[in-house]
Amino acid sequence: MTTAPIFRLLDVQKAYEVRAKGGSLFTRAKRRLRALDGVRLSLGPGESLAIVGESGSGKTTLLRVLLGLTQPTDGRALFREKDIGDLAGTDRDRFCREVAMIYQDARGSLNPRMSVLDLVAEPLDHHKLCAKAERRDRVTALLTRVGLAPEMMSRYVSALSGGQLRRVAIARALASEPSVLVADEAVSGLDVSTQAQILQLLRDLQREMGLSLLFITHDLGVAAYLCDRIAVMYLGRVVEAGATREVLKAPAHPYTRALLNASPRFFAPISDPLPGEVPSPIDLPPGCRFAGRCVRAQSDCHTREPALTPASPTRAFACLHPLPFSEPSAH
Amino acid sequence: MKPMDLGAARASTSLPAALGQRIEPTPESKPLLKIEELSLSRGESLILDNVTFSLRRGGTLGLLGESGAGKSTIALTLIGLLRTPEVGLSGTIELDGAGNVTEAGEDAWLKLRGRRVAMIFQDASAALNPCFTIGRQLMTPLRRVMGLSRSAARARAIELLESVGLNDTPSRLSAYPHQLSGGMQQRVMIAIALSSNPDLLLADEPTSALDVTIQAQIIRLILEETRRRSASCIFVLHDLALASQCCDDIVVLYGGQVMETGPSRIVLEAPMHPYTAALKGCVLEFDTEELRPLPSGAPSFASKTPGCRFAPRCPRALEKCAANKPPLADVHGRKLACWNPLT
Ligand SMILES: Nc1ncnc2c1ncn2[C@@H]1O[C@H](COP(=O)(O)OP(=O)(O)O)[C@@H](O)[C@H]1O
Ligand SMILES: Nc1ncnc2c1ncn2[C@@H]1O[C@H](COP(=O)(O)OP(=O)(O)O)[C@@H](O)[C@H]1O
Ligand code: SF4
Ligand code: SF4
Ligand SMILES: [Mg+2]
Ligand SMILES: [Mg+2]
Repeated sequence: MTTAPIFRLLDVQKAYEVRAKGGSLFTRAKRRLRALDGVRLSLGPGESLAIVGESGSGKTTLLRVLLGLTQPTDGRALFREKDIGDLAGTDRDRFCREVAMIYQDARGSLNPRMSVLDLVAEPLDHHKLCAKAERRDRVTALLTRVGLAPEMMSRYVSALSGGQLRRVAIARALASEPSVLVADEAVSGLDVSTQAQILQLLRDLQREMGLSLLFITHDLGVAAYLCDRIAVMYLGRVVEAGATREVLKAPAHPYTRALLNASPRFFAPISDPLPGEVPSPIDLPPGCRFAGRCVRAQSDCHTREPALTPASPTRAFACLHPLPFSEPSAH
Repeated sequence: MKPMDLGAARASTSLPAALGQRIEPTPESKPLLKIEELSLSRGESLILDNVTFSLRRGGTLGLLGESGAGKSTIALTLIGLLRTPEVGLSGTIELDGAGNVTEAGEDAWLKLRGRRVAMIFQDASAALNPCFTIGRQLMTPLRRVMGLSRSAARARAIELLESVGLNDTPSRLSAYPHQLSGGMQQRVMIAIALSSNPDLLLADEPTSALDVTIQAQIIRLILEETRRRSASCIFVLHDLALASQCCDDIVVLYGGQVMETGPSRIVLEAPMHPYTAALKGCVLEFDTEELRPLPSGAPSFASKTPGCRFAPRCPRALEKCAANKPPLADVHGRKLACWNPLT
């Protein structure tokens, strides 16, 4: 398979200048906070990739870089092999049409003064994708595709339930006929029954339309259901990546293992929790950045920093003392 | 449900005795809490319809169901916070040693609330007062409820913060809520709730805003601390898998009606009620290939709705379901309200 990737991140770093806590406003030194620190990943046509990790691990920053909302301070972020920050003219238009975003806060991201018709038609108008006469028909088709009755067209955001709102947001995202869907916690905060409906819809759409999907979630079950590949982030780095089922069946990185243990499982005893919380990415000590919370840490972990290294065609991790994992037997 | 290989890490994790062992009820012990035919109305809406369940001393119980099922309404009723004129209440809530508190007045509730019954809310940042230090919010109830002197309250506050896992505790007393992470704020709320050694702790979705790692820490903390005190706990949860891990018993609610209740081992292992089964069908495990979502829909709370409130969405509904309300009956180790249960 040598299809050109749609997105490629080459050792992307994103650092913010922040003032450290403590001291007076004037004596506080500026410090560099590395929200992303050497992230390398790619997303090909039709691929689905889940980004998981605790809050503060850099997931949203990664997404902002991919959407061109913020520039990397080092490394390169490419869309179809061109730097996202430099896209202009027709390249920029193409990027805006091909990459569609579904936000976490569906209610907040949709204008309450616009009807569902106008919300879904806005991308059609913006990209001049259809004649005025066809507008209603296109919106009807999109609403039907996401499981909403065409009568919904005349409603406003305030009259919609949480599940209906997400469907409108998805219909709107699909309007520009994108090739990539990008979503940040798009199903969190929903009832399990509504979540199940939306996940089923997203998976059907992804498969039937051949969309690429980049899905940020803190729920490993969601990642496993929706995405073929997974990237686990910790403090601005990808610490483990690979085929989702393989990684979750036998994680090599102790952090992935800890996330798995903490995920609720029917009738399993509640595991010994991972101690502490994600520290601030300012002034990180040398060595592995997970060492302070890692049950497998040894003395070398505090001096040597592990790099993300491929271990098999479908697995990569950044750990000096990984958990034993067996390569999947060839079929 | 077939549990996937959890790997060696979990199997080798030995649980502290406090978590492994269940406190068995002595034969003569009365339940701590006994709710019978509790109904709550707001105007024409019947928000709770004949809710019946009980909780033993030292036990944990989970209230499950989609949003709007009435879970928070039950919790707020149990702490005496739904006592306004527009709320109509009938039935009995027997709290051991306090009798039927359904009709208790505010002066009686002042002796119960925060003392015998305490509550932890979902959103700690909203429940804590942003203008007061952690120390003040912890020490005020200690002085007022427990009657401690200033210095004794301070010492106890430090002890409590340590027991909920905060480090650097003396300096935390002068911190404001916004200076703490979400997980830390939730720990402070737990410390406040436990400060008066309540018999009953109500935890309304205490972890839904937190990462799974912090969720595991907080749930364990609540279990450890309530078991250490032989207190009972009611969790309001929407995650069935989590409920199976931390609740002895569960109550599944839909539209303010109890659908199925019993030991979680029995109810969640093999649900017989179509609604419980449907909720379980929405839970993602790492090897889930197909989801079986319920059709959308919300229950009608109109007090005149005669039958099973789940009927409009129920895949097993019979003709009589919409007209006749099924009684809550004992079936295979649980209580079940359904005319056409799974077998
Ligand atoms: N604009 C910003 N200025 C300073 N720090 C930021 C900014 N945006 C994010 N951060 C920091 O970067 C880190 C990663 O944040 P984020 O990408 O939001 O993580 P996640 O989405 O995984 O929770 C956090 O420590 C956060 O505080
Ligand atoms: N203050 C209120 N006034 C009127 N109706 C309310 C109020 N609070 C809750 N309700 C209604 O009571 C029902 C149960 O709500 P709630 O107990 O909050 O459910 P849950 O906690 O299970 O999500 C819902 O239909 C809700 O709309
Ligand atoms: S490198 Fe060491 S500290 Fe880091 S994850 Fe691996 S074992 Fe743990
Ligand atoms: S009583 Fe009828 S409608 Fe209600 S859950 Fe049972 S089968 Fe379904
Ligand atoms: Mg985020
Ligand atoms: Mg609630």
